[in-house]
Amino acid sequence: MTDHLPIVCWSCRGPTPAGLFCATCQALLPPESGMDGFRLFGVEPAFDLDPAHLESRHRVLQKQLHPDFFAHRGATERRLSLEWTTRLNESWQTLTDPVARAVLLLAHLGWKAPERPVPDLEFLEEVMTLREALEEVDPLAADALPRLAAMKSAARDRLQNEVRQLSEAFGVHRSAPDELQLIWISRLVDRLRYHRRYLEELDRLEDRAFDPET
Amino acid sequence: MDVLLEIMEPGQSLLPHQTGPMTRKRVVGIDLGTTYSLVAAIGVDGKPLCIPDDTDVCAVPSVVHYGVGSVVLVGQSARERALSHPEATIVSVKRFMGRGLEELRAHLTTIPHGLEAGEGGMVRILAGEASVSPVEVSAEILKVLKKRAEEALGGSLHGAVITVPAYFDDAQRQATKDAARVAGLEVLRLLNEPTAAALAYGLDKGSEGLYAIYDLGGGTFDVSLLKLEKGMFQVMATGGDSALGGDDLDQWIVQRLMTETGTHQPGPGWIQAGRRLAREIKERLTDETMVTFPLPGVDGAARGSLTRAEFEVGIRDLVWRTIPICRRVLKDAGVASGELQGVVLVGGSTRVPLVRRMVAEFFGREPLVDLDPDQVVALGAAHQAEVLAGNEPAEMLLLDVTPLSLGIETMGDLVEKIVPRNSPIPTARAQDFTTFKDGQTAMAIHVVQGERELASQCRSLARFELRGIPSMTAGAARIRVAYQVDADGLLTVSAREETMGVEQSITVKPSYGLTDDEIASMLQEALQHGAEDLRVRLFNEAKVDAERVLAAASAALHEDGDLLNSEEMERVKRAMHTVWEATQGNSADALNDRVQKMDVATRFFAQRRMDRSLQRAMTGRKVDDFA
Repeated sequence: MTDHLPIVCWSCRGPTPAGLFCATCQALLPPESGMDGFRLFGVEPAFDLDPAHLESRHRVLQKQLHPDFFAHRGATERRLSLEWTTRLNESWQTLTDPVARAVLLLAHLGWKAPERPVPDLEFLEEVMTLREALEEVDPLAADALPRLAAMKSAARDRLQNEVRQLSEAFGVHRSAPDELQLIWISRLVDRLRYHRRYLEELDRLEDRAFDPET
Repeated sequence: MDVLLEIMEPGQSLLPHQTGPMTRKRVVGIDLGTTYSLVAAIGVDGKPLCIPDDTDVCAVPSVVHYGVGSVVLVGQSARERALSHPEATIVSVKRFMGRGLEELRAHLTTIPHGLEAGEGGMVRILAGEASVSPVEVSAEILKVLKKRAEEALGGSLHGAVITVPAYFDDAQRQATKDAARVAGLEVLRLLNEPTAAALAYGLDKGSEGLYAIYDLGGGTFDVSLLKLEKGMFQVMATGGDSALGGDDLDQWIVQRLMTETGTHQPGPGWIQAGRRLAREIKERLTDETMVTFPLPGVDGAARGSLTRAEFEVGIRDLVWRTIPICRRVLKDAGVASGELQGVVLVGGSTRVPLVRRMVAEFFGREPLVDLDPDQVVALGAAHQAEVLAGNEPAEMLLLDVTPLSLGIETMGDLVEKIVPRNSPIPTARAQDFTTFKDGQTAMAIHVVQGERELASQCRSLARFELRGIPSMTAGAARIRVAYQVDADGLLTVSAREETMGVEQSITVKPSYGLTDDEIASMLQEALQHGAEDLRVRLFNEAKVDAERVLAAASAALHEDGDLLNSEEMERVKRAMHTVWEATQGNSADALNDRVQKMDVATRFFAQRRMDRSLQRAMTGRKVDDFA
């Protein structure tokens, strides 16, 4: 949102710097095409982001852009508000989710997923062990709830550990990571994604242990 | 100097219509409930109030009676006929909204009406001589509320916020919106009931933190977890069961009455009488530990009895069904119950002592019951209506979520989720698909909603076919299916083939409800003033836009008026004046025409403003330096 050349306001037809509202007539402007979450939230592309900053920026933007404020305005502004908040919600979800944030950041760094990825053998072994543990759980057994709670706690630790590794990797290779470094990072993302699905799987088992009807 | 020149002086109000006090738009909040419906508006002291009838009663029983000679009764008078004319009197119509025939037959075992398949997969209810859709029945209730509000507020309504259970799916929401249109009501927003309750509660108590809203109504259950912080209400997660409520508790008593009286095939009259008695017994058991009552359909002084303990054993499983849902909502929000600031009870069924006990036990705290659980939803809706109409600034911003995942059917009846549940709305998601056969030129798209893995177990919202895909080898086409959910929680789906630069786009509004034509024809039948309403609406829309154009032009003159000589200035102002004159009339066409003419007449001005701004940019000076 720091372009120097003015754009044409759709409402007063005059020049205005790009941004949320026209500098002259205060009409809501369309979102710039290609603006990603980092830019919308006014942060440098990075993996470690300040949650308090994101939250306050989210609040400030919602309070300017939400459809509730445009319900009594014309059709164009209603549509633009919908477009803006759709993007805002998407960006908010992306930036507050480690996997989505890492994927966005990888794209920023020019990473393209290879057609035939090199398998992560070490991790495959871990996956096998984890799967076996999962299959051994009987959600209808008497001790299922405490057992699942323990497994969830361990799974959450693994998840945290992966996030930490990812944060370090992105921190070290901040400026211009080479191909190998990018492969390494994308593997960490895949691991994180797996651990999260695993946790969801445990959640489902826990739901069933709590209430067999689900 | 003419009038306009005078009022254009910098620092003064820009246009005549902005100089006077702004006219308040007449808007209301409506709680269209399973058992009762209410309408509320902001009173003179700025606080929302429910609007009562002339006997000072706010709640309108959601009962519609279809009499002979197309006489329609709504509310208390209809309820009085439920016993004498059971087949012709429809209660709890909300349970039919947006539902198909098969589904209803499976769920509703004892109803005194025949059902038949209607248009668009919708059901029709046979009520006496009439065959009516749930949308039409709901519209009758809305018409009564609308009339009551218009009499109380002294004029026609600009619009309404109508509440729906948070767990209502797209078809049920669409049906509710259709009902409002049939009743001639402009829907400012469909608002989720727990969110409306939280709004009323939050504004009343002014407290911040995490709240769970447990809303057990006549026919629906919702639980929402909200974060209230710095003027923002954020729904973190929501869950529920749109077919679970007080009616089900009554139903248990009805079954017991059937057993006790040896009734196997209850007739319509017995069903209505049994249901009414059941509700009465349930309500009395809130304060009493045992009640006795005359048995329906049994002659003489035969009396039955029911203790609260027996009742609680009987309904335990039903009430328990809400608990895993509460648990999942906490989990989805990533919140432990100890972190909650409070648990707020909404809906008449939360008066049942067992409900309160189970909620207290699960959340580990006594729930808050200091607001009237029957009125709080309508009050919150009335408040939000004021904000949406622009009558008052929003003290509190509401951020809501989708209650159920939205997906698409893929091969083998599987569902691919596109928008996961609890996504903040508005939201948009897209997914790419491809063809699986060589030369395939069409693709069937089936939109579903729900958490189940099989499409056949989810709610089917829409089916359509994307045609005109260029003939290619299997897997070469790229079909992008995009889902958009708006601030009402309503879904629009579009699909398009992208590889060959050929654009094929189709937009579907999933609707168990009605087509626009069907609504238009109903409007004609039901409302003599339907056409007039439409004309007023179109004009108001044009006026909002024209006022924006005038305000924008005034701002431009204020900023760059020095670019015009006096003759040009006069020309621009004359064009503005003709637009302003048309805003005082009543023709949308005339107004739009003048706005277009003004656009042409002021184009040179816009061009000069652009040129100057570019010159400034080129000479490297910031626009701000000139301000």
